[in-house]
Amino acid sequence: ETADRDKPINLEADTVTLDDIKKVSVYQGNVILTQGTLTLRADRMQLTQNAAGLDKVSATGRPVAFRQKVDGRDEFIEGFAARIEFDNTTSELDLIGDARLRRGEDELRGARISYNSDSGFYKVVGQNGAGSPGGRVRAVIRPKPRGEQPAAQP
Amino acid sequence: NGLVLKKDLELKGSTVAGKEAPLFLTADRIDSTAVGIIEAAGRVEARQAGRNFFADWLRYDTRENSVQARGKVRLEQPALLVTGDSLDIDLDTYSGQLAAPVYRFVGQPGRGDAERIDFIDENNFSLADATYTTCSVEDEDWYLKIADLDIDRGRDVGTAHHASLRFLGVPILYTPWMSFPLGDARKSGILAPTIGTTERSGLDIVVPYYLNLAPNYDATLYPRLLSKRGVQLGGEFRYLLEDARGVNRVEYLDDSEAARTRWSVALNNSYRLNANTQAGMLFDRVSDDDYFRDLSNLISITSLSHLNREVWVTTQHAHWNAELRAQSFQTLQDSTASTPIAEPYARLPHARLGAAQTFGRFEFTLESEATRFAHPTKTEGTRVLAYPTLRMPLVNDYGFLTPQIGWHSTYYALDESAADDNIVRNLPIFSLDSGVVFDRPMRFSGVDFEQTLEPRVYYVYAPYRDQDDIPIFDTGLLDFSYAQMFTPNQFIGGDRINDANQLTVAVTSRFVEAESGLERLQVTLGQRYYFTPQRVTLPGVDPRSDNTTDLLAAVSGQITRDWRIDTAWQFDTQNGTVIRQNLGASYRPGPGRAINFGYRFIDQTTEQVDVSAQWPLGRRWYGMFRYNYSFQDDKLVEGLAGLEYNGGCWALRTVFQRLATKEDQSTDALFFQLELNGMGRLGSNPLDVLKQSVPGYRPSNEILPTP
Amino acid sequence: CGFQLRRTAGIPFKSLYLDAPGGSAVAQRLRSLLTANRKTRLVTVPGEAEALLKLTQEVRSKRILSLSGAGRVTEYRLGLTLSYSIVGPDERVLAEPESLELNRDMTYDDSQLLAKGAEEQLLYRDMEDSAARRILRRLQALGGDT
Repeated sequence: ETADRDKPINLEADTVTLDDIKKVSVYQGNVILTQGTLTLRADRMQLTQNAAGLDKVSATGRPVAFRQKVDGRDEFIEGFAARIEFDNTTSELDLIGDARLRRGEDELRGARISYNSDSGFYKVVGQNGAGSPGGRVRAVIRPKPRGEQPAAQP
Repeated sequence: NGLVLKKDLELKGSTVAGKEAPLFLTADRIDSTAVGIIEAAGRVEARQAGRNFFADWLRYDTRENSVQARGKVRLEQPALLVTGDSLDIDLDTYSGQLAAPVYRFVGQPGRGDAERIDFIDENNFSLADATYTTCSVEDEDWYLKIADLDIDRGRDVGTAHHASLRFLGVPILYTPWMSFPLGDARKSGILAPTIGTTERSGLDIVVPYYLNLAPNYDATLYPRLLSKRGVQLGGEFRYLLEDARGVNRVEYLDDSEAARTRWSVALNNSYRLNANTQAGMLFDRVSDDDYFRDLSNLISITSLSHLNREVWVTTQHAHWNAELRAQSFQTLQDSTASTPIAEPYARLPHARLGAAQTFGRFEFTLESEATRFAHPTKTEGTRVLAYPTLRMPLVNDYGFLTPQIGWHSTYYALDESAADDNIVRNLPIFSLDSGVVFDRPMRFSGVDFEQTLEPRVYYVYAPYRDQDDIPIFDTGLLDFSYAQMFTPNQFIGGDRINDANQLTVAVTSRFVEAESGLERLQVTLGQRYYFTPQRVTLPGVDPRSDNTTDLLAAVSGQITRDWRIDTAWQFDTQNGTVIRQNLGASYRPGPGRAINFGYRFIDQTTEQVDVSAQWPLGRRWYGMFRYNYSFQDDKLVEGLAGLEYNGGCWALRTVFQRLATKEDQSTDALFFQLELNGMGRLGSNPLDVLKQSVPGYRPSNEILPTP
Repeated sequence: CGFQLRRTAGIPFKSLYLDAPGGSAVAQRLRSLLTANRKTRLVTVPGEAEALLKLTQEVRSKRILSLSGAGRVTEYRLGLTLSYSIVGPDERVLAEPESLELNRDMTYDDSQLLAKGAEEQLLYRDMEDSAARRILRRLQALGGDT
């Protein structure tokens, strides 16, 4: 949900190492990040701060999972990948390595998926040899009944 | 993840078929650039409910549920493959276009290309500026060039507007409109015209026009140009409903040669009233006696001398069956014949009741009928007859003994032209049929056989009854045959019951392959002995002089998978002469390979040899021939020579036939036909002649070309 | 010369299902022969039968054999072709399928139309009877000799 952007972020992890100078903090061991309806689970997460607060998150896991409620509908969007890069300012999520994105009954799979949680637009890119055969990208899309508004309306 | 989608053309789609089925998309890159729009690029594969799309680039609008594809587009539907440059299609209604399509049907021949395909709905699409052929891909022997081709997958029919047919590059036919079957569906549209010439009607061109009105009824119009006579209009209407079916045909001609209007009607309809009862009518009538002789050249039609007209109801039940029928005939006199043809009696009406019941060891049967016979000139009257029989078949593994007693009673009520207007005839008929089966194992050329020896003795006793006053309504003498030897009455029909005190003795030996149980050869000998002279005869026929019949012998069987023989003799044991001889053999190793040999001899009447064959003459060539020579008349009864080329998706056949039709006259006919597989036939049709004259003949395009 | 009275074990199935097109005359004839045989029960449901006898393509044919000088028919060859197969309940082939081809020649005279029509029916019935008996013998032969 877009309202998540201004929600507080809280984090749990087994261990934390902070580096105030470079404003980088690294969380390791079943790390869980929640911000409003957005949750992110990973083995290791590295957060960088900027003046406005949280800037970027880079999470790795077997796999990293993220889940967020879709605006205006009781539907969730879920993503899995070997690594997820989250840019809080552009609210751009980059799923890299065996990426899978599922929204309602639509499902996308590919080497790399970039998803903008604001606009709902995504881009699925396949790289040769990056996991799925021939670097192919896969999607399952259900035709939306005419009357309904698509979820990703900002 | 190693899981590769198995490309399955006949995929019936996901569990949710139809409109709401999800679209499975695979590509090098997928992105969603606008609201509800998905674009995929790079070897795109999309699959929805049994439809596969392939392209370099594809755009799917989830709200409109429509697809655009560009670049090496390929669309695979359950029954159609199409490739082209660009595709726009609405997945809800399956309507849309595809540019520069090359299409091919799946499951049946039929392919081509076009300028554009307009998909109309799930089952219908039309092609603009298209070609259509059933030849295989690299074979362009023939194709149709069509301005506008509509394909209806529901009724499996293609309808072409402004079509021209090109055969080996030469345009040979143009038609403004035609429709044709897409599979082996029924023939449709303008059927191939048949062209022929006969000396009685000159040039003879028929252009049949087929109206596929509905799956269960259709009509065909036969406009026919006869250069010497004018234009004949013919029409046929056929229907096949739940419990009714019929074929009705009418022809009409203003004949300039015969200076009169001529017509023919042929109606044939039957209805199923319930599970056991059927009713129906048959009505054949022509305007004049020479109608068929002038207007047809099929021997089976020109030789028709009586046309049947009848209405009937029949019912069959477990133990009885009954029939009510009214029947009369139109007799076609032959002006050139010396004696006029005898007109048969009409049966107005004819009622028949048959029953059969088993009581423990006894079997009771009843045959009874009542018929009013009408005739313009001969004696008319009503005949009522009943023939109950009782028999006790004693059957075990190796034999049978069947005594039978019957009582045949008949009552005639005749008109005043008969000597006696009421006649009653009652007589008992006793018969004893018995047979025993011996067998022994034997070996012949390395194969184990079971040879049987089956003597059979059949005795019939029937007292003499004076039947000279009884008119002949429907009775005649049965041909002397193995079947006739084991019937109590040598007359067929009800007006004569022969006095009998006769014994038929026969022996049959069968050679049965022990391992497969197939009967390979059967040899039969039979003769009948009369203990009393014959007294009941047909009017004007002398009674039999000697007290034994001729000896009948027959040897027949499917000796091997390919060889079959049928031979029969009839010896006059009195003076040791052969009355009748019939030698037949056929060698049919496979489709398209058949050789038949026949020699028939009937003392003083017929001696004919008949050799016919179809044999491959090369990889795609077949030769057919028949030589039927009559030594008696010292003349060729039928000569036939044919050649056929199988071009894979077409066949060319040419047949020359010389047929003896009258005493000193025979007619020649040349047939020349081009058949385009799945499309139709052009030219005069020799197939009926070939099937009649060369037993075992198979059209070459029904045989896979020899490798 | 080695002949002795035939002692077959009879038809080796206690129950048989006859699968033939409706109104098939050969099937009718076979039913009466089998009931007279009393050893094999004819069942109406394929499932219950030990063996299924399938009659297919029972076709009568009538061909002109010879013509008179005046182009009128003097002889017909009547034909009956049919094929049959004997399979087990699991469609296992119990006997090699066979196709029978029988024919009878009959002289024809169009002045005796009604009589010749009746003779034609008699000859067809004779062919149907011999076809039925031949199939019955084949069934018995499957039982082998005791």
